[in-house]
Amino acid sequence: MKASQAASQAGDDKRGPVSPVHAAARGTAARIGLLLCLIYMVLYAGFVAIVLFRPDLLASRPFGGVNLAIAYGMGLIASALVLGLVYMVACWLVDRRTVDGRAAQKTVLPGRK
Amino acid sequence: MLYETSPAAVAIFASFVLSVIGLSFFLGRKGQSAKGYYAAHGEIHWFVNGIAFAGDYLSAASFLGICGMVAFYGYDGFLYSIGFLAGWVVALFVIAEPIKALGKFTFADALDSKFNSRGIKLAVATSTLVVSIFYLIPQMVGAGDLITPLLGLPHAAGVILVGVAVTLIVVTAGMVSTTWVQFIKGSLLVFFCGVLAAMILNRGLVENTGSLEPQVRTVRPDGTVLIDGQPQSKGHDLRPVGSIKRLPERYAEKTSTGPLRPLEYLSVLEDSTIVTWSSKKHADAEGVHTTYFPVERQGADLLKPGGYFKGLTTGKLADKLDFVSLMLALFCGTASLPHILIRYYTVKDQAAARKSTVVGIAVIGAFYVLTLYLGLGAMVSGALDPTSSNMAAPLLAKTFSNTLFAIISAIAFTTVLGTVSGLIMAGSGAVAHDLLENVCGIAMTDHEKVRYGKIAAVGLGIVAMALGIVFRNFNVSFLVGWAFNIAASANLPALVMLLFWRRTTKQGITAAVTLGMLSSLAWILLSADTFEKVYGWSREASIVPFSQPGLVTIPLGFLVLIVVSLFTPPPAEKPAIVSSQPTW
Repeated sequence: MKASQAASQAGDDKRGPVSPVHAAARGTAARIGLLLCLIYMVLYAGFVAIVLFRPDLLASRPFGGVNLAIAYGMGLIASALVLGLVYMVACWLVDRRTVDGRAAQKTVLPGRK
Repeated sequence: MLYETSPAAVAIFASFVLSVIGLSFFLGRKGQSAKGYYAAHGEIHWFVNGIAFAGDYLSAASFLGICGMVAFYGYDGFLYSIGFLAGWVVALFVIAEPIKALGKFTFADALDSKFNSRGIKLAVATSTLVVSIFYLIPQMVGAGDLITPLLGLPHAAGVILVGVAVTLIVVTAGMVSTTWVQFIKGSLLVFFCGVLAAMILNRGLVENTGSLEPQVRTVRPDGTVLIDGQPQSKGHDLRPVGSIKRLPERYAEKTSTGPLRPLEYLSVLEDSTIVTWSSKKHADAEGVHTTYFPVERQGADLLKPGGYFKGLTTGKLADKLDFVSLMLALFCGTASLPHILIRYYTVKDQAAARKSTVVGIAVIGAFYVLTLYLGLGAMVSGALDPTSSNMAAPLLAKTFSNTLFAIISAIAFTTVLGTVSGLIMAGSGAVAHDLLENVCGIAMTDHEKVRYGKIAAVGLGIVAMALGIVFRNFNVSFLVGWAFNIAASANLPALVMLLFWRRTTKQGITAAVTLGMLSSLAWILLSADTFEKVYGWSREASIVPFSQPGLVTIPLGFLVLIVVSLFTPPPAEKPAIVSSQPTW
């Protein structure tokens, strides 16, 4: 129980018993995640809105070959993956900065054992 | 249509089942800890977990159902694919890492991590069981329905085979063997869908001039079946259907396009004239007659929404809201399904949870794109059974070779194993870990936790088999939709608010989970779809404006949580670690 409570603090409470730098980093990554989620929600809602209100557009062929229904659908599947990869890279960058930050902290405060 | 049993399919399926059970015994040969049984020691590699997500999530309904829906109605099957995949975005960006950080074995652990409340555990364990059992019934009934055409065995044999195999898999090594079964199934499924899609593209589109005479299937009161007035037999059966009548202008001189590139395949199909088959029923003293008749359609019409969701073309507000509600439930439901969430406890840390979700999205997304090709390929293959959309993918495979038919049939059947073992694992955790240990307060040693988990798994396996046989003659396909709606309405609001609103209280969570579950269930039971398909009553008698509850019950879950939380004392900012101290 203790372990999961500690983890709870780490995930959810910035004043918890984790390194403040790391908590802030997770905060940054979590915000990026929410932003990406929002982008996807707009794309998804746009698709649902076109299906409902402008179904005539779905038969059009904006890129010559396949129609908008197929292009948008495939685009949604592809964008889920692309946004996922963006998120992975973003988290990796944030984590790396955190590690660097910890290293910097150590050098600045050598007396703190 | 009558099917010939393929001994090769039976052999492939039997060897698959025997090897996964063998693997399970091998993995379970060592003594187990609770962490091993419920969470595979948290040592599953993120890549393996990502593929296992696909094996867990892609049920027989996903594979056969979506292929069949595309083959019979065109684009609308792909709408489900889009919704099913979109849910993974919520899982990745919002749910994955907190679930991993907060929980230990079950979803209830995560929701309750801040409060230690029996009310939350009881509510969440109940919703886990309800969702898992609703999801389980169509899988088990599907196993029975599939085994007859695919492997030539009776319904009950399919149900019992799956029930026993899955119970053995779960009892031998719990989450460890479940993970590997899901990994193997996920890889096989996506690989062979890829092979089949490549063969479809290589064949290109072919004009075929099969007979377009309507066909009549009569079921007489004594149960015998007539085809066009003569008794049905191997030699006298319904003709397979689905063909291209005319290729586009540019192929005027030819009857075949030859190999096509992926997007080219779709655009040529859009410009072709396609024959699909519809049916109408009427009954008289002789029996129930179903007439199957050809409908000539433009490819462009089949490749846009509206073929299955007739409501999209009526212009009625209630029909539009029904569609929005479905798309919302699919979006919110995936990340709230307990059998998906427990997979997050099998990896090492949050980074691994994140990476495995991205792998899952890649594999599942690829699968959905492939099923679009499989469905369309089946639509024009001239091999469809007009009575059963579920057989579209295997029958398509048969147009290439009998070996491929055997492989696809065996894989279609094994897809049931991966999903059902995930569901039984989720249920086992809810019963043993949440209800017995945490709600009833039964103190357990590590060894006992495993033993109770296994007993729960055996019990659930027996329940699953019984349900699969009892519900045999019910239309159960919509139960998956119920499961998504209940999961989205009960679980998602609680999880999201716990993560993003500090004022959330334990009473708020308990109320939101309970009311989300009850309101979505009540809405479904009162809906026009249920009136018509389950009770056999008139659609008009229904008292709710549209059938899918999500649009109302998901916001309701949030609202209940907020209101109840505001009326109850806020949670202590820090866990009350002094509570065990004397109070003088």
